[in-house]
Amino acid sequence: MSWHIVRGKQKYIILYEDYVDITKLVRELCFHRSLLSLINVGEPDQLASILNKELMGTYIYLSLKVKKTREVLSLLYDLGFSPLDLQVVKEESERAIFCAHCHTVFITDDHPHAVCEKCNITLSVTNHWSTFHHAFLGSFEFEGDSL
Amino acid sequence: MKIPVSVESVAMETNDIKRFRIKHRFNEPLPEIHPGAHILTYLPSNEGVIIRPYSLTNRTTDGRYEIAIKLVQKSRGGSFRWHHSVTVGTELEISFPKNILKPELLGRHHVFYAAGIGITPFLTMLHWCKETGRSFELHYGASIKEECLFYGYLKESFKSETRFYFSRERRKERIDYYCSLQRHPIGTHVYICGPPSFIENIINAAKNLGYPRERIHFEAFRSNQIKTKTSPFKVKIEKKCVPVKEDQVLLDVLNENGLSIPYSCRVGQCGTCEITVKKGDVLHQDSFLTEKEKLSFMLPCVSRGKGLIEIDHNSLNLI
Repeated sequence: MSWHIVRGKQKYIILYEDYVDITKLVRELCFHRSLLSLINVGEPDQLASILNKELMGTYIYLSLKVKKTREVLSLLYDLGFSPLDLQVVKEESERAIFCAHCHTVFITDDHPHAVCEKCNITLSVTNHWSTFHHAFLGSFEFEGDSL
Repeated sequence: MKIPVSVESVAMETNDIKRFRIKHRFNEPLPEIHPGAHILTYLPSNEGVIIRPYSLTNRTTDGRYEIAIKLVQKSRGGSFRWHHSVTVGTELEISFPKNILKPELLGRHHVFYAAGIGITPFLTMLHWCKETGRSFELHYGASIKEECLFYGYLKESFKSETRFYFSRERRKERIDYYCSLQRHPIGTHVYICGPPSFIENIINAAKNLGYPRERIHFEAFRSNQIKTKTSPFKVKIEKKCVPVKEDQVLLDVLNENGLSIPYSCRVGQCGTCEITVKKGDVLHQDSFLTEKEKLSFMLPCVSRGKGLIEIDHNSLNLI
């Protein structure tokens, strides 16, 4: 898992799922002596009512499986959070890919190539991470192309 | 491109603030504006044209602009001229409206902090917030009620959203920035306008509370870093060496020497007049360039050279 520590916030929240290990992240954040709150993501309605009361100066780490991350992100954006207020802790074993051909976002294993689950085109997975789609860009792979 | 206009009416708003209504000289409606827009005014005088930026407080339905100008005690010429020489019928030119401040469309809540004449860019923004059903609040500080610009209008139009603070009334009140900033919901955008120290204090408080820089917006009347005492220096343009006197602005000197550099705010905030420096030390007085950018660029509307500086003529983006 990878993340970077954003300093100077009043409060940090880690949204996590049971089977994702957040020990290292918690340990790092504890050094900063700001308020730290851990929320086990359950029902979206409950989560919305909790996060709706958050104030400016709050920063969220999402340590969730890719599919859940996408669900929670759309909830957070509805509540007024923006990419400036949060960070997705990236899971190394699976990745969300944005298909440059049909614009579908799908989840796949961590491989340099992926086949879009909607249009079946083979994509090269680039390092370009979209904070809007929360996915890596999968670009066309032409014959003889070695991206 | 400039618009020929004349003054249609002048009204005294407070002891030292006048409101001017400006119309197109050929009675055409003036261009539509975005909330928070300002214009540059080009006022002829015996000493040459005086160029100053002023926020638009209103665009009337028949296409007139309104600006409010405070008479500054140590006026550099702008407010003094406007207060003492401009009357109904005075002819001048203005720029097309421009925006440094504008409301952020994706903001969940908008908070405006104004001091004194700093209310002017917010009037059109407040109106927009109300009209489009946005959540907003205004914190407005002035010395006394009588010095509070648009007090009656604000109290009537934005009663539930406005809080006034009077520092010299019997019940003395000042804006407690820290306390106020602490209770804004996530997704808030903060807008600040007032004297340099007012802007700086609120920005610092917001940063200390963990506000992302992108959520803090401000408009300065003048650069908050401008030194009161300035020294003359020389600027080398190609093979020509031009002196810049202590009371001259580099941007004006460049323009007088045939280099029509585009500009907008003239307070070191928008970056329009950015030029590349080839050699020499620069006294940076802007609030736009990053530390890294300051190594190669400068804003001649506020920044000055030390001794001799050389600018890159080839990189100039002339009008």
